[in-house]
Amino acid sequence: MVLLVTSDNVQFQVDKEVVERSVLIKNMLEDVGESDQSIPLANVSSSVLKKVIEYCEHHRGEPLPSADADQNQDETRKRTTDISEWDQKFITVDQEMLFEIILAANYLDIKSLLDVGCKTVANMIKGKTPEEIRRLFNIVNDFTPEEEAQIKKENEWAEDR
Amino acid sequence: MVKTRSGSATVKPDSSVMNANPGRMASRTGDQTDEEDSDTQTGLAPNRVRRARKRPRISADDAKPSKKPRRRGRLDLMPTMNLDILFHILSFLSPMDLLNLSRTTKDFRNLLLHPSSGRAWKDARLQVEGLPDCPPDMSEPQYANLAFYPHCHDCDRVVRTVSWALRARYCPKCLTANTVDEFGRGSLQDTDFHLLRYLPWVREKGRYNRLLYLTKALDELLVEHSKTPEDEIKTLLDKKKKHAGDVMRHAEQCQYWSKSIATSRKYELDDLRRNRKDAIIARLTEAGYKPELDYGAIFWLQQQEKALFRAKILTTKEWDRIRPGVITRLDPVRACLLEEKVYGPRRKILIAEYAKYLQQPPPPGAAFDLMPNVADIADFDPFRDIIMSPESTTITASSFVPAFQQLPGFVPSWRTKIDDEFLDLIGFPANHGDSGKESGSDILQLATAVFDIYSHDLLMYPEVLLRPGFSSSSSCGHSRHDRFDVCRLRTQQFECQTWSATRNRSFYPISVFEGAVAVVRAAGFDPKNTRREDMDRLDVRFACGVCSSPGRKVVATWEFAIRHSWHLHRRLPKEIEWTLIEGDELANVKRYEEATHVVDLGSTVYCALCQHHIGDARLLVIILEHLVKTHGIPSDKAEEGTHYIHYRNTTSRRTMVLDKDGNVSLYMPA
Repeated sequence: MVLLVTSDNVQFQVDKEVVERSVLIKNMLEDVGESDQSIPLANVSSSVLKKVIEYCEHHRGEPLPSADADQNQDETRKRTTDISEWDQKFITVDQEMLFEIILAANYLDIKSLLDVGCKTVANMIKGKTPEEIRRLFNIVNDFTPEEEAQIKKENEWAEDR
Repeated sequence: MVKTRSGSATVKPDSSVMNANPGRMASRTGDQTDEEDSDTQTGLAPNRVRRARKRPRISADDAKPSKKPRRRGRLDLMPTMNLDILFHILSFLSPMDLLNLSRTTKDFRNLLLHPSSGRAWKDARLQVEGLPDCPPDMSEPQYANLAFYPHCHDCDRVVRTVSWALRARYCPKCLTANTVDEFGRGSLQDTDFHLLRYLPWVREKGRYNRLLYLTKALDELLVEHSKTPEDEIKTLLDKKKKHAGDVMRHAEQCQYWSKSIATSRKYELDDLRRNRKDAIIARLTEAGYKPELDYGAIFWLQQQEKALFRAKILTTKEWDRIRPGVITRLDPVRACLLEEKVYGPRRKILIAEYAKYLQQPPPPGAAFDLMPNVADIADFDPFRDIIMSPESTTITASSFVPAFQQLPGFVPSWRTKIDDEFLDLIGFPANHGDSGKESGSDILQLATAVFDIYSHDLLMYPEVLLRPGFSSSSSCGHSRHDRFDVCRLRTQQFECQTWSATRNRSFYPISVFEGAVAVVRAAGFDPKNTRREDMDRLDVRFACGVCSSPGRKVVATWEFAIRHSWHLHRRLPKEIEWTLIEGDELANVKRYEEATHVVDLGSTVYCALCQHHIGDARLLVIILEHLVKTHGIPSDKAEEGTHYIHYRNTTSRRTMVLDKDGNVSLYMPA
């Protein structure tokens, strides 16, 4: 068992097999060796870590993606935004939690969870008009109407303009 | 298994801390320094300048207190988050999504239109199967805009067709405005005309099929050509020719891709539609509508509700939403199915039984001058109750026996109803009884109850009720193409409809023929209360005041006097005048009538052994055949009055001419 301590000072005892889905923690454990010492996760709150552990528990025992395979896939892939049914249910959280999970997955280096989070955000953007995306992101349109009409015609690289 | 131990303090998660301490991440480019990394992870700034997290500006509208405060979505932090994560998200988007994202805010535009984002665009493009590579003279966003933004590059109208060789998407109007055709234009010098050969072109669609060149490209070439020294022009033109060739080849590949996309999209949509249709069939079957589906409901629904069968997956949520509407839409199908499969056979039994009933003499005290048609019979309560009894009830011919026993009780009320409807339809002029309505249907018994049918025919009562417009099957008030129309189906089953004077008001208008009044007055009777039987009993003949001349009288029975007036004098009703003939003249005329009385096979008659119902007057030849088959009366034994009776309006008595010597002959109008 590995003892994890979150930013809000909550301790989690988790099976090593589960926690090692995080490449960050796996590397730490390899570096430190067998020890009873707790691992502080200063950037992850207890509510987020609870979700992350839930994910790792569910995917316990599944092979970890290798870095080489990822790289090859990155070059030739036809990227799919399909998400398995369980993952979809798991990631059905409010936007705040979704982003916390993405940031935590990135920090803890859990590639599959990062993919699930990023695909979810991508799916939210897909097929939406600029105005719909603005509403989704809750951001203000900082283009004037003239600029908005103009940018549709100017699509060359910024340095070319 | 997860075990937790609660800590002493609760600290809210702060993602900004995480941004400052990113841990190990898969590097996007692999060539960034740590310093660059830490910079980029806190903002989008592609120019490596750390920028403060930008909060959305609050507009004046936003400043107003809203009724329902909206929770701020945390996705607004996306533009300011770690670049690696951001680009990881972008890697799942299509080129059109990137275009849309780049048009949301200046931050996104600056990020995505920076050459360092080229990889994201390329990744997105590679997701599109078969799309040719981005040509070297275009940026990835330009190429994405050309291939996927379905609007005119000039006026922003929706345009589906891309002019690949012109690297533009124009509506027809803007295409004309931005191109020059192969015949050049006014300002193009003859010496420069050959330069068009060095430009890419598209073929104009439509009548002329001209080649079109981009005006802007021609102008640039003209300028470049004019500035190029003579000895370098060949090199310039070779370069331009090669470029045009490259563009045309690329355009051809794009065109091919575009067509294949359109074709596969078509198949995809066809599949979606087919799957949706199958899903609807499955859902309806599950809901118990299999019989309706087998009865052709789905084909009918497809015609009636095209939007229901659009190319979209049918989800359970959507089905739950649309189900009540679809079920309601199937009501006419269910009703028709019941009409055809359950009520139809019962109606067939009724039709056969009613035909038999009419071929028998009327029950004692129940002889009517007119019987309803079978559609009206089926509408009488005792018959309707039998026909519409539950599906599980077995109905046979004997089921109708009690109803037929009650029929004589229903016919008078039916007759009163149709008389009233008829009276409402036509009205009577003041010189016919007590203005018609007060005296009720009695007015229809008057000798003056004679009706002009749209100046095409003259009918007396009650024959006028047999007019086809009142019960014909041709008019149902519904579309004849609407397959599931109960009224149409019933009409088909009965080959007629229930009697109605209101269903087709515009169909051959009827009016009272006022010329009849002159004939009744000539008999010395008051038109307001003289009934037909009064005129029949009088049995006199009348001479036409218009057609008669000294020594030559045109004479007729009272009915034919009215008919003669209508045929020859209806346009001048005030001139109609009849006088009574008496004494020898009357005796001569009656003798002539008896001597020439002939019933020919073309006369229209009723079977005297059957009960009359609407529309069963037939040619004598047909009635003779009917007498043999139905009543066993041989044709040579059939007698007028006993076995058949004349249809009132086709009496063999004709209008005659009586000369001064007392000779009578058939009247032949000039």
